[in-house]
Amino acid sequence: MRPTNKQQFSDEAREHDLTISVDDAEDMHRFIKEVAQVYLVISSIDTTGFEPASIFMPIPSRRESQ
Amino acid sequence: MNKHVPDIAYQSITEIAPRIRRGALSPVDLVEALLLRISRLEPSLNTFLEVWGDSARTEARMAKSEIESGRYIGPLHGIPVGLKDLIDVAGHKTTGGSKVLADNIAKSDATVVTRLKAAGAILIGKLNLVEFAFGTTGLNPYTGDVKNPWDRTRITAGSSSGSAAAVASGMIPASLGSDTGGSIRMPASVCGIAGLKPTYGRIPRTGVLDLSWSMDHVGPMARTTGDCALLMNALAGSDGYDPTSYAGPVQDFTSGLTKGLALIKIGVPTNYFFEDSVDHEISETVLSSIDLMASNGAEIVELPMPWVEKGRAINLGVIRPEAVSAHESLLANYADLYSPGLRKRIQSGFDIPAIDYVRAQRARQWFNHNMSESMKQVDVLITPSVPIQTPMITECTPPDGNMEAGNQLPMFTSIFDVTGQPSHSIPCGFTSGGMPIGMMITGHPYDETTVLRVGNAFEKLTDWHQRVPTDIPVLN
Repeated sequence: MRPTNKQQFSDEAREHDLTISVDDAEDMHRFIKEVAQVYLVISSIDTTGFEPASIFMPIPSRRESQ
Repeated sequence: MNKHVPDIAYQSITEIAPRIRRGALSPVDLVEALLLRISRLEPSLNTFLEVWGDSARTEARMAKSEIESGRYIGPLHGIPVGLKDLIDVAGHKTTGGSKVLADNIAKSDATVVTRLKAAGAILIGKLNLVEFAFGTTGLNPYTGDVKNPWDRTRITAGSSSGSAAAVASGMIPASLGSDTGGSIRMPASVCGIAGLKPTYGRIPRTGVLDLSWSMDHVGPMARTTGDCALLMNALAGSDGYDPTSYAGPVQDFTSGLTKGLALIKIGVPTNYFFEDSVDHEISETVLSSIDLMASNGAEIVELPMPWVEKGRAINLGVIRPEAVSAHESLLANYADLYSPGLRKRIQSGFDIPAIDYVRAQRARQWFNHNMSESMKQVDVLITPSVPIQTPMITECTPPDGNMEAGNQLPMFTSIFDVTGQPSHSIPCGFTSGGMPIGMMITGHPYDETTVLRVGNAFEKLTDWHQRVPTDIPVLN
């Protein structure tokens, strides 16, 4: 559940060892709105069949010769 | 603006290197001339965070001695180069333009530094940047704002602000920058120099501070396209440490420079990059530059790209969570050492759900597929580098500054951080107010050679890259 007001946001941040004052939280709501707008645009894209190819790639390794 | 100023400081590496090779110009004299220039100009431009005069002189004497004894390494031998201060040099501070890393001494050289040294380049110092490279205007509340050499009341753009301004003012012939949303190409455009963001992974990032690891690129900034090609020859190729660096073959990036524009197909997007919202002087200048190339052998292909407007959102949608992750540990321990503005921007990303990041990466695949389909018709795309004229510093400075400029500047450059294509900004004219206009040439992944070929061909047809700011005196 996302925090709905600046006090909740500040409290949640503290739980994650982040220093965010209540005043900071007010400014940050502006940034959070910008971020939300970014993901709104992204969510409007139909990405069916476009899974990222290389989130994980094994690192080649082998036993060292003695 | 001056033209053809006979100042060693404004000569390209391509011009200087043969003189150094045949002994007509000593690296010692070159370094002394540039250090003098730096000492005179630096107070008003604020481009350097550190100048390494003593070590640069020592390296110059060594280069001179090696060249005189017949051990000439190549075109970067004896050439001074500056480094954006997020690149490690053993024994020197890497601050990222921050207070957080003010005392951070690098233990080893970044791969790009090792390679510059191997090529005989002289490291002359560390260059100013946006705090942790997280910003587009070039302003920094801790290290001070870098001033645009063409008009010191205007921004340089960023984040490689010092890297661009130092080259544009003739303090150094070349520098290294980094680019996650346009941080090489925006300042190159705004300061009137050449800046190449190579293909993602082309240059290893080992020893370079992360901002967003799947978008970060390191690349050269210089006076000409040919100089960028020379630097690429020294810098490209996997190092075995950066898992994202490209292990495929590395070509000679100068090999296509003189092939001209014949048979080159230039894609010109019919939407987004030339719409009415783009500054008219900029769009008209870039379109007339394209016309010039068409009249010299290039074929123009109009490309509808209705999906391309989503690119900036995808760029931000990937950068934000990756930047939060990159800064998580530092923020937990040193939050009070961040500037309040940057700290809040990063902290605002802690609330981004994982699904949003995955959506952004899937959207990136979708975007790359569309770009790849469009690129099948052409060799390069040509667009403006930035959509707006260069703002005044006061217009971008909080609390009264208009933050919109910072959002608009990367609208075009960030597209090609998403796709990882090689993308190159070169000067193509000036506004009526006398500020440089940049044109962006973008190619197929791993085909920097064609991008550089087109850039060099344009420079042979014009002299925009030879213009220098009027209010900076010749200091020879």
